[in-house]
Amino acid sequence: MSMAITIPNHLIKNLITITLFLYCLNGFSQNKKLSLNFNKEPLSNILKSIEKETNYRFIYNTKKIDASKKTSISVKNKTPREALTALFLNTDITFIINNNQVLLTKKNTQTRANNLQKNQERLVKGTIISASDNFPLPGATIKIKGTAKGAITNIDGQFTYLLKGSNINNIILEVSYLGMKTKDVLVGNQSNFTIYLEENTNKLKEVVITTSYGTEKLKEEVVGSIATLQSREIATNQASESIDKMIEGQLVGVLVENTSGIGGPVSINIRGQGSLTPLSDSVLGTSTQPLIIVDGVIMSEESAIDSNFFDGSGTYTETLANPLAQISAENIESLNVLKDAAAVSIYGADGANGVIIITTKKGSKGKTKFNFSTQLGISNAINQIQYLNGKQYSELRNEYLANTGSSTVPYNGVDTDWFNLLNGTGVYNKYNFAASGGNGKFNFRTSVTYLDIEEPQKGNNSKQLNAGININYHINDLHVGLSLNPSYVKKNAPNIYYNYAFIPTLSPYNDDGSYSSVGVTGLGNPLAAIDQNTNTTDTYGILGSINLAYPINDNLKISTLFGLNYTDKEQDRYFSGENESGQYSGTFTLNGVEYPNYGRRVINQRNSKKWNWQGQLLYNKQFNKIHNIDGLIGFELSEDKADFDYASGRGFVNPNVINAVTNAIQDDDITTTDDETTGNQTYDSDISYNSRVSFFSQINYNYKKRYYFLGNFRRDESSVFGSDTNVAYNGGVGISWIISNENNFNSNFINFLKIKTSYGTTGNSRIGSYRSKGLYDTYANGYNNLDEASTSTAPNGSLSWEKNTKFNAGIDFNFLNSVQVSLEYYYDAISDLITSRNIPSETGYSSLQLNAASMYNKGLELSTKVNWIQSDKFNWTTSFNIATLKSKVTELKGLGSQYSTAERALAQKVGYSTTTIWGINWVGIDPGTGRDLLEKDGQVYDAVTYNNLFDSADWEPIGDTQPDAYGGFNNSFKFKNLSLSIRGSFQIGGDFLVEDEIISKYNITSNRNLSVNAYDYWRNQGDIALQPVVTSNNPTISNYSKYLYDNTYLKISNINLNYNFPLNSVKFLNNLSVFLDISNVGYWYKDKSPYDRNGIREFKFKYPQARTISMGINGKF
Amino acid sequence: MKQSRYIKSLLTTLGLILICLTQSCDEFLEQEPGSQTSINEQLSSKDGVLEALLGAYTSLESTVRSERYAIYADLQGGNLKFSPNLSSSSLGEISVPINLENVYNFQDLAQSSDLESIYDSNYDIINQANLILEFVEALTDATSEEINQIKAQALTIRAYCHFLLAQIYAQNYSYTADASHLGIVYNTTTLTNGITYPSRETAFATYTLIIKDLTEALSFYNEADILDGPEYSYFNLYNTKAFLARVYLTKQDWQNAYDMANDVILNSGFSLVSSENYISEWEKTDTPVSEILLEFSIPRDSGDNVGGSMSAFYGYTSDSDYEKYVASEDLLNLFETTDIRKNLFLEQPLATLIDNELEDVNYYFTKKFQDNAAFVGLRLSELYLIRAEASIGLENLEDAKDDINVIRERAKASLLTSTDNLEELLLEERRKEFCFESQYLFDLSRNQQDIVRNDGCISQTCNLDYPSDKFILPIPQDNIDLNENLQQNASY
Repeated sequence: MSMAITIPNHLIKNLITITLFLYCLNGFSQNKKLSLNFNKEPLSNILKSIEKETNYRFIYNTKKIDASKKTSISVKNKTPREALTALFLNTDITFIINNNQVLLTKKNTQTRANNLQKNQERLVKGTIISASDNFPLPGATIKIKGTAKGAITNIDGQFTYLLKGSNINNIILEVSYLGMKTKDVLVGNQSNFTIYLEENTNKLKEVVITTSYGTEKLKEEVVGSIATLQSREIATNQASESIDKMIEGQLVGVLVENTSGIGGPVSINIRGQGSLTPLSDSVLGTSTQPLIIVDGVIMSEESAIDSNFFDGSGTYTETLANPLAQISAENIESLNVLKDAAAVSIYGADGANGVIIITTKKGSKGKTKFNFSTQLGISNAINQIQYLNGKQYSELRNEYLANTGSSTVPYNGVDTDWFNLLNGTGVYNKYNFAASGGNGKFNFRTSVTYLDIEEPQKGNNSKQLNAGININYHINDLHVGLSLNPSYVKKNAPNIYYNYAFIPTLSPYNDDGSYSSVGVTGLGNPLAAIDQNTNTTDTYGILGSINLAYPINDNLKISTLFGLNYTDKEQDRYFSGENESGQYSGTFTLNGVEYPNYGRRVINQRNSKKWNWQGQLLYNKQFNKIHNIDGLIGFELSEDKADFDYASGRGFVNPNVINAVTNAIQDDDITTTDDETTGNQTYDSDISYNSRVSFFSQINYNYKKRYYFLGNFRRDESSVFGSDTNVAYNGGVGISWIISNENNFNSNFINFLKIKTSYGTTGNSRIGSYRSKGLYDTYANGYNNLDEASTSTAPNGSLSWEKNTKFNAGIDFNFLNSVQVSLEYYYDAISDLITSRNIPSETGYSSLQLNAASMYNKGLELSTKVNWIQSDKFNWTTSFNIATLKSKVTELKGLGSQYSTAERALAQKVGYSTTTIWGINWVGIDPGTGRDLLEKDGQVYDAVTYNNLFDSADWEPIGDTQPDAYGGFNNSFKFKNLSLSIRGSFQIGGDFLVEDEIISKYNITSNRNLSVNAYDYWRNQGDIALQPVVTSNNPTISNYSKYLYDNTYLKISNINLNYNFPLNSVKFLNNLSVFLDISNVGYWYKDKSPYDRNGIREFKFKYPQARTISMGINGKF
Repeated sequence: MKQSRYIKSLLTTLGLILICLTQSCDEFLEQEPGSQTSINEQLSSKDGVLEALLGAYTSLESTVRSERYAIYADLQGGNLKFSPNLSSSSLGEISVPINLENVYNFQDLAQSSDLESIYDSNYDIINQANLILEFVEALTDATSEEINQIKAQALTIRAYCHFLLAQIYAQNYSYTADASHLGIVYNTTTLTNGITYPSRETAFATYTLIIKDLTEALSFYNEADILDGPEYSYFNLYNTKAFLARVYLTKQDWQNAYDMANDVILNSGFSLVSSENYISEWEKTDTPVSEILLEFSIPRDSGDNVGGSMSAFYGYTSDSDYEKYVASEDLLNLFETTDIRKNLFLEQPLATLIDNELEDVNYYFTKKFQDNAAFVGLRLSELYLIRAEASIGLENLEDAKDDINVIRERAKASLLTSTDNLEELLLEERRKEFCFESQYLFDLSRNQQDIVRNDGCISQTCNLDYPSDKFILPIPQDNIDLNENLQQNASY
């Protein structure tokens, strides 16, 4: 876009003709061509006219510069610099351009002459203050421009410095602070300065936290691949309970998997899944999750362990929760996702899946400020699955009965819509209060967030209390920081039978109003369960750290941090004897009276303590103004201890009220020597401990801010590895070149250009403890009634961490001052993936955990931010990102077949992605027989024939759960005081396999309903049907391609409309805003659902997602 | 001043950390599992090793007492037939038990061998023994006698399991003249030394290794009392010698077999069960016959409830509650009328479907394995017949005849008067004495005899001439697939 403006002559008397070429949008004056034509005009007039036509402002000392001097100039189409050079060519004036300021001073020759005459000294003092919040800035740099001399502000943001020189008035002070715009200040005749710095809204000047060991860099100087979200970019008004859901789609290459329901485990994949999809026991596989570090504290991951009662499977094990619920989104200052080797190799054997560094908000000096917000909304379930109605179900059921030789049952006229009975309107309620302030030595920030979510799923609710306390204290140069994030989450979820399709011909109530029986073993009437059962989880957590830092000298700093993540969780369930979920078979006898085995109390406890202690020495020095070196060296110790307890009691005398586990008692059987009194009580406990000792180092070097080099090295020793291989060495290097900082770089189009690349190794040590050791199980009452031990898990002394070698290359460029583009290519080669492999049984074991597979993830990442319009009244900014992902298993070590069978959708085979869905190509329904027709090697088979000829080992790849590309966007508009933002995410490609039990598994219809799609069943010869004949001997095979749906979607995750009241309208407040927010607005799927039938839109989430519309108010005072 | 103090204290702390890191890293990095115990931990103390040894015995006991092993030799050899079905849908029908169906028809499949679990569990036990042997030397809380005693038992367990596998998966020793035919994988190492892909030894090497282990074990046995429980339930000096005698016999190493058997008969202190007590000894419910040398204790819980016994296959409680296996008349007809061993059969009429009509037919259950009977490992009678067989091999026919007569005399059978047909008579005597004791198939193959099954045989193949590939079973296909060094048996 270009614009030519011709300035009418009469505006600046009759002598001036200035033509301006504006090549772009706002304030883009530096590179505009100037034409000046003045004849003996006072200099001040010439300067004024330049100021008028450009954004330049001239600063000069009127005592030194004679602005009235008549000057002539005639130049055409020159850059401002060229024009000014010409203007001052034959004068004693010289100029310095800095941003939009042009400083005029006397030429050196003259200063030198003055110098000889008088050598001056002046003590200057001042305070550097952040313009946005009026807080003083400690650690800001004040330099005499053009030299390395200067001062740094103290805790109170103050500095003092003795200026020396012949012409102090002409000295320019360059004031800089990370994250702020650098400002030049002419000393003039002042001795006291109050200098305000403005925040740098330019993304490149943003501060990026590069490690949790105390390093940070300007975004433009970051060598590695780090995606950053600042607090203002996080949709904290989104009606979600944890941060992971708010960042969905907002970080390039980061795929946040949307788990429905509140508080479920987090699933964040950075640049693809970093490990194999386990073939069995998915909870026991290697961690695929990134390392999450909050203010230096390594967050503990909530995972199941390889032990009965604690393996996360079955009805009575603990429901896993999301550790990120421990911090409130409002408390987060920034979130940095480390992706490539240059960024993560400092985390060595823990870095393979990427690292997320979260920093919380800190207090700053000044009057105590308060911030409050409240939000209230309602939510509804969206995209529910449609099931067969009573009539349709009855019809299908009778077809089944008739075809299987049973007698049919006439439709009873009942049509229960279980979904409607179990879902209603939810309520979302959030309160947040924060206070911050401090003086020179001490500053603090505290906050409390209370969240109360009534889910649309009746009876399920969650209450969450998060606090944040951040205290910083300075004793002389010693800095002491304390950060505490206590949290309490109370979750109540008795509505647990949502995913079971009860039959519609069953009335939920009996005639007398009591709950009816549903007749499904192990389940109860879901309405009765909500009413009579309990399922509450209380989680207390504390995430805290204390750190000390001390500068030994200007170049060397020592710091140490101790972090602790403690959580105590108790899940307490009661299955009431009043409904079938608590009515177990059998009886027990107490005091001679026989009772049915009714009522069950189950208590699961998890207590986890994870601490890490780090210490590091940080170095920072500039040599000759051109060599900049910084680096660090340190150690880290960490230990993760989780204790598990399980208690269960079954069979109570009065089973309809909640009983203690210890109430499950019965009479002792006197014919045996055992005491059976507590025989219906079960207790178990287990532990999972691991520890690690690490040393790490990093070095950064740059030459003239043009060439950057980064090197990382880390040594990890971990208890989870085999003793042969318990030491891991990882490291990485990265280089970048800021081309636009080169002297000869001169482009009107490109403002910033950087290329970078990195290479290095990381590992994945979160492979579950003890796997390498080989285990014995011990039993009482063994051989000859003695205690005995027998082998269970095979030892693998050489079991080692998974290795992830990362390559990254990228280019960052900004152009037209308004478009920022970043493009990266990555290739992560993952080797030594841990898999369970069958081994020759002559070894005494049938399988072994070993490092036996390799795979890669590769892709391109593009992120861009465009400032479409930026003016005082209207702003429009768009950020958009997209990442592609391809992964493939490249090697599966020896040990027999390349294909792990087991009848499941996900397998491991060389040449295919680990997320490949295996199954059978479905061709259609045979109009003659009504049976499924299946294709294999170009041949079409009847389902029965296929089943006789082939088994799951013959399955072929029919899809892949992994998308080809994914990403997200954020559009924000600001019009005066009104702002609107629309956030979303999308996925292109990727498949979703629906379980067959909901579509055409007719043999379960005795007590389960099917989705309405089942109604398209084959009825008569010649029918072109979608579902097979309703009988039992049409074999039910799960993975047909017809159950596969294209998962390409676009999701609007959040729309937020905010109105900021004009400041003067509310007196006691500094800021007041109201907002309207819609979360989970809606989905668009490429694969459309047929009319009156379910498609991926409905099938995707069994636990329906909630759309929340809320309003809130936000104030500061 | 203040500054330097901070620096000092910080540096001191850092120094201390580094010292602590280098010094106690190992301990800090040692994390033990909860309800399970790591191998290193389990086997680091005497108590732990003894628990592991008991675990090996439990595994061994459950393996030999499993239907697939306990029945195999008698079923294949023709000592057994099946009682009629009890289930209402097939009441009175006679069918082959599903667990041994393919084996019974000489049609076992490598892909899903009936005895696959026997193969796997024996190697599992061998691994348990190997682990003990690997760690026991390093025990600091055990005396050298105790260590030796543990070693002796672990070595014997290892040899016992290998022998058992050799009998099922390798042709008899004399199948080739120099025993160069395939034996089995002999495992003496554990995964802690890395995974190996072993190949099978020759029969010669297999037996050499078994004998080596047993000879070594014999040198380690001593007086140390390490485990509670009946002496016969553990391997000891004399039952190991008795077992070695059996191994020598199988190898047809006559002199050694003779010497070993002779040693046990003369020196073990055991004597044969007498004629008078013969039946009552077998009828005892909870304890073995008095001449027992080795019997693995059946599992019992703390309330003394039995967790399984041999009666699960041979038991008879009533005509509506009985088990699957009964004696064939091929076996019954061998006994002379005076033979007291005939009284060990429990005759019961059972409803049997004949031409679609239920008729009562007499069946013969064995009294050896009623109630809480355990698997009989070794008893003294066998040593007499081993010595007899060895004597034949050494051509001391008179000695052989005398030893056979010791057993016949006790059984009140007619005594042999000549040395004619001694080999044949000895084989028949073994069949009568050790029926149901998992020996007969191996007796047949050792003596290169054909399998002949007449009465009650419902197999598609009742008879099998020696030699045949079907005298032995296939190595499980999984193992062949996983290990290219492993060779499958012929015809599988």
